[in-house]
Amino acid sequence: MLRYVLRRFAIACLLMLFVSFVAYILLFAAGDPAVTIAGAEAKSDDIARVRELYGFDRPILIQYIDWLWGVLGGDLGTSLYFKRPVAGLLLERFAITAKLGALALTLALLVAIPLGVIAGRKPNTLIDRFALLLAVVGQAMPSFWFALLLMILFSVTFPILPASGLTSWRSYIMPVIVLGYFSTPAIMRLTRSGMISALEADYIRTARAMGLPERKVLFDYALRNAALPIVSLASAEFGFMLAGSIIVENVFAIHGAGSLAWESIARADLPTVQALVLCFSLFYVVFTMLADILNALLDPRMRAR
Amino acid sequence: MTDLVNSVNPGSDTSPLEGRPARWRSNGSLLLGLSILAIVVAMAIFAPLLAPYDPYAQSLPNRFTPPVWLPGGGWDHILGTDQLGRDYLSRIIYGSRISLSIGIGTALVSGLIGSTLGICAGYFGGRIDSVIMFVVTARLALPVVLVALAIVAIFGSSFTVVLLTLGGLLWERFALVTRAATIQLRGADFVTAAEIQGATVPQVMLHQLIPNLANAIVVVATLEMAQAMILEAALSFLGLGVPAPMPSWGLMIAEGKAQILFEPWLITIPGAFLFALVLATNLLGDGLRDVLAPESRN
Repeated sequence: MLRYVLRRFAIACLLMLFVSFVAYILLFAAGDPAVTIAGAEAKSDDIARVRELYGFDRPILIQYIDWLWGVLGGDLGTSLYFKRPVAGLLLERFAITAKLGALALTLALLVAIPLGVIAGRKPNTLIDRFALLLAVVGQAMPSFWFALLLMILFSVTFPILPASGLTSWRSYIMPVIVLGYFSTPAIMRLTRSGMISALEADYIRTARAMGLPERKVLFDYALRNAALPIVSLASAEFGFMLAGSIIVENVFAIHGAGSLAWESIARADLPTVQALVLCFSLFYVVFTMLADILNALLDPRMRAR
Repeated sequence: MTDLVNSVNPGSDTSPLEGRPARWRSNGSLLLGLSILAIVVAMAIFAPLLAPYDPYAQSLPNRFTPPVWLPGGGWDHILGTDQLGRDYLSRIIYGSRISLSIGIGTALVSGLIGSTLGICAGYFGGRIDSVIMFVVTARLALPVVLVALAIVAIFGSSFTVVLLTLGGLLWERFALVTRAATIQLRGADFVTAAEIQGATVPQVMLHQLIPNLANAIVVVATLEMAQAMILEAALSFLGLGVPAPMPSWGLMIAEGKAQILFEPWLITIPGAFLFALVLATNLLGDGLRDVLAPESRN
C-alpha cells in the first residue's frame, strides 16, 4: 500500500512539473512581458532596462528554473497590477472560491446520487427517463446563460435574491446552484450505471433472498459498491468546478480566484495568471491523487495497477 | 423444405442488417437531435436568403425594439433590435454560422490530435502508452477556460485563434476512447493477419484500425462539437472569443447583459438558440452512440 501511495505521489509531482512548464512556456513565449511592465509609451531603452532588471534577457529555461525554485519556496512572484506578492493575493481569493466550490459539490452530490440510485433501480421506467432527460438538458445548458436566467427570474422579475457580490448567505444561493448543476448530470449518470451493474450482482440477490429491507439493499449493498468510481469522478469534478468559477464569479461579480483570473488576463498580469494556472492544476492533481489513494485503500484490486 | 432453404438463405429476411434501419428510426433522441440540427444547418447555409436585414447594419433611432410578442414590438423586427439597432433575427441567423463552424472545426482539429495519440497509445502500448496517458492526464489538469482565455488574450481574439485553441485543448476524450478501442482491436485476428502478411504500421492503422474506430470517433466528435460550441460562447461572453461586431450568440448575450433589468429578452433569445443547438448536438451524439456503438453506453 505504501508503495502504491509513493508511486502515485511521484506521478502527481511529475504531472505538476510538466504542467508548470507548459504554463510557463505558454504564457511567456508569446508576449514580451517587458513591454507590458514598461507600459505602452515606453521608449526602447526603457524596455531594455526592464528586461535586464527582471531577468527577461536570460534563456527561457533558466528563467523557468529560477521561477520554479521560487515557487517551491512559496514565492509565486509579484503581481504586476497589485504590486504585492501573488501568494497572499491567491490565498485571499481562493478562500472564497473554495467555499463556493465545496458548497456546489455538496449540492451536486445531494441531487445526483439519490436521483441516480432511483433511476438505476428501475432502468427504462418513467422516473429513469425523467432523470436522463434532466441530465441531457443540464449538459446542454451554458452556465453563463443559466446564471443570467436565474438572475432575471430571482433578481429582476421576483427580486428576492441579490444579483451580485457576497453580502449574506442569500448571495450564495444562485452561484452555488450554477456551479453545482454542471457536475450533476455526469455524477448522476455514473451513479445510475453503477447501480444497474451492482444490482445485477449475486450478493444483491442473496441479500434480497435473505429478506433485507429494500432501503438497506440499495444503500448499504449496491451503492457502496457503486461508490468507488463516484469518488473518483467527484474529485475530478471538484477540480473542474474550481476552474469553472471563472464564468460564475464573472456573472455574479464575486471577487474570488475565478474573477481574479479573468481580470489578470485582461490586465496582462502574467505572474498572477501563471500562479492561477498552477493552482487550479494543483487542485485537480491533488484531488484525483487523493481519490486514487482512497480507492486503493478501499479496494485492494486497484493497488496492482 | 422451402422453409428450410429460406431460413439459411442470407439474402432473405433474416439478414443481420435487418434491425438496423428500425434502430435508426426508433431512436427518438437521434431523430429529434437530427431535426433541430438540420434546421440550424439550413439557417447557416441559407443565411443570406433568410435574414431579413444586414446583420451589421446599425440604426440608432431603432434601438431596443422589443420582439413581436412583447408590447411595442412589430413584424418589421420579429426578434427586435439590439443596442445599436441591428436586427436581432438576422444576427441570430448569421450567428448559427459561427457556432456551427467552431463546433465542426474544433471537432476536426481535436479529433485529429486525439485519435492519433489514442491509436498510437493503444497500438504500441508499453512506454509510448505511458507517455501519452501522462500527457492526457496533464491536459486534464490544465483549467480549460483559463488557458483558452490566456491564449486568446496573447494571440488576439479572432475566429481562427478561438478555433485552434479549442481544438488544441479538447482532444482528451478522443484519445481515451480510441485508445481503449484500439487495445481491444489490436489482438483481433484480422489485425494479426494483416501484420503477418507484412503490412506496415501505418497500413495497419489506416486499413485495419481506423475503419473499425470510425463509429466511436464519430460519436465522440459529435459530443465534443457540443462542448466546443458552449466554450466558444463562454469565451465570447467573457470578451475573449470571436471579436465584435461578429454575431456570436455568446457575444450577443454579453452585450445584452447590460440591459438585464429592462430588456431581458436580449439575453434569453440568443441563449435559447445556443441551448437548442447544443441540446440537439448532444441528443444526436447520444443517439448515434446507441445505434453505432452501443457497447460504449454508460
